[in-house]
Amino acid sequence: MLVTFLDIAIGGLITGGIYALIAVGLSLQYGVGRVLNVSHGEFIMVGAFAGWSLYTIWGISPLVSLVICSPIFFLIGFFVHITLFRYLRSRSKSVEAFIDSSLLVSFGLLFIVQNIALITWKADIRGYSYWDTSVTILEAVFSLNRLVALFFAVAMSGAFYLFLTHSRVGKAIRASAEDPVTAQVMGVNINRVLGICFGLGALMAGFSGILISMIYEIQPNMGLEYTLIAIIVVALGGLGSITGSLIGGFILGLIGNIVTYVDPGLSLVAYYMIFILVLLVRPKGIFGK
Amino acid sequence: MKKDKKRPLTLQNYPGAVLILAFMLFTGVCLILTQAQAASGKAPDKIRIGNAISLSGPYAPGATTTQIAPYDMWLKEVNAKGGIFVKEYGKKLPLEMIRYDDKSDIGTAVKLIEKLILEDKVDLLLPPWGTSMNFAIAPIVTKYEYPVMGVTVDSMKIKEIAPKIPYFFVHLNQPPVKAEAIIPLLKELGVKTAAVVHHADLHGIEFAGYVMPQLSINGIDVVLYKTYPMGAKDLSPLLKQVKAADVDAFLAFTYPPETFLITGQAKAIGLNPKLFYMSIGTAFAAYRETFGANVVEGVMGTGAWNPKVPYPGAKDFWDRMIQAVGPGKVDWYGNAFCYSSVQVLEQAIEKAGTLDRKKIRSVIAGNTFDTVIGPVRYENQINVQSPGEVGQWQNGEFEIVAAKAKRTANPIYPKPQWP
Repeated sequence: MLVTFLDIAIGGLITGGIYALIAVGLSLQYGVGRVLNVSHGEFIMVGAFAGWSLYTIWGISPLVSLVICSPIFFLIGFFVHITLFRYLRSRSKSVEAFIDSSLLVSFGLLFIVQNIALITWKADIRGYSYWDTSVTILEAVFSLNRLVALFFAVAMSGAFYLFLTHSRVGKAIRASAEDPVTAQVMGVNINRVLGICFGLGALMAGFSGILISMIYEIQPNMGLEYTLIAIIVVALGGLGSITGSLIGGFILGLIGNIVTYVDPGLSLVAYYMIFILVLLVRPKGIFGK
Repeated sequence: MKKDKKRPLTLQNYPGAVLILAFMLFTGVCLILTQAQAASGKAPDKIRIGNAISLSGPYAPGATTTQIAPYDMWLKEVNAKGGIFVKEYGKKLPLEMIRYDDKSDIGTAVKLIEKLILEDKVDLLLPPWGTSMNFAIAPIVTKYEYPVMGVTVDSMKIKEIAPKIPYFFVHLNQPPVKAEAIIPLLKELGVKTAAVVHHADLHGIEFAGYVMPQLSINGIDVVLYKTYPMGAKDLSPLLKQVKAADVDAFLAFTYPPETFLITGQAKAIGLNPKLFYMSIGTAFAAYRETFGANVVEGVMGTGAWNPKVPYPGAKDFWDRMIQAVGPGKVDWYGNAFCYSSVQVLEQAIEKAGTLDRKKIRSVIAGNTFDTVIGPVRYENQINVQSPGEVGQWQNGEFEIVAAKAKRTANPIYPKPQWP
């Protein structure tokens, strides 16, 4: 009984950890920056391929890749924001208009990134084995790479939470999420904060992409399914609530695993049932205001 | 006496004659032009081959590995020797490929096939990737009378509709052929209990639907039977149940993503039954490359071919294939089938001696062709030659272990422990 419980709980947390990271990234971009970034998954895909390339070509451990690639992803995200979305935002008549046009732009970004990836890496399935030995926790067995992924997902989320609550930039981000106009009046450089948010979102995507490449096989069209999961989690946790996305990710992972244990055929059904239920019962999400 | 006034010989004075002359001149020119045109139409300078296939989207990995690579290699090889000899024109004609990306979308594929036929007016067509894609284009190629040899089409339904789509040939061995060989193998190895899992897509449902009753008829006890959705991200709860069931054989009817996922997770949780079988993706070299030859040692998969088969040109083909795309990017099953399908096409054109598609179709339907998968022959448009039905990774090679008569190596049983 204890073993079954641990199997489900830890297994759920592992999947949930990655979902949480992905969702926090999207939450930053959408919740704060109002960019419904459907190309979020493409950044995850690029991260996964970066991890794969560095490991198979130069033998660089994905854990080292996390450190090398994260700042690069941040800069890419920041650059994308100041070139595309800042311009778009300054020309939009209202927030709604900006949300609409940014959705279209990010669709364009999705196709561009995906096609560049197809040209660069071809459409083949790739994968590598890294730390795939098994670890036993009180008789429940897990693969080491998944536990490592869980550890890094939790560590990253924790560090980010501290950053949000304790640093000046973090406070500015939260203030901008609550009320961008007032934040600006209070002296927050809104354009810079939004750029940072988008950069951090890309960083989270790249980071989780590298973790995903340790566990799953990868291919250039893998992005969209993660974008969908991120959207479900953001809706579950509450739009604009970063804590909500974190917890929502873990909840979704856990529920997925419980359902898979009962009947694997129902796991995807469960995800979408939750999505619909949240929209019907509490459209603002669990932590939405 | 009235003297006839002589009419001067001018155009105005003889309008009738001028008209007749002009008409003769016009028809003469037309005749020469149409003859010239007919002559140029009769002797084309190349054979144009159309191929709408997934270069992007979820089908692209399979399409690239299994079909595009051997098609392109064949095209290059044929052109290097000057082309295919067509008797009607008394010369060799090189090939030209017109390829479009169907974006893994059936609607797009259908439109592109019609564009290739009606606008580009290609001479012949190659098939798209995937069962549903092939199903979708089969009536269209039949309507326009283009013979097509479907390679990645895997469904029992095709047999029922075959009479309605006489221009569509099924080249790959179908589920009954591959599923049928599992049972005698299990019996030979002395398997008593089995766990069966499969994805909820046509391939998994059909395969399981065929194997399940056969297992019970043959006295093999199915202890656990479950399905899972495609796109599952964590199957460890399911695999742990399989482990707890402690069965002799684990049979999973999978697509490539789950084949990879199950392998990694089975290794991690130590699920190591005596027989470990998964269907699609097991034969990919990428599968071996991802986990390493020592990890996949003893894993069985559906459909087997390797260069040790006793068919002419097999080894040579494999060497060239590996040289063309690299050892890590080949498909140990599909590549040979794909290449043999274009071997059939090439031989059929030569035998027919024309580019007349009706004649090519009847040559394909009524002859036997020597290819790298053996002597191919179609019965009701379905290829009856099968080089091997169950494969097993042994020392980095995908050996044929069933059917028994076709073995290139004896099966390893029980499967060794994961390293």
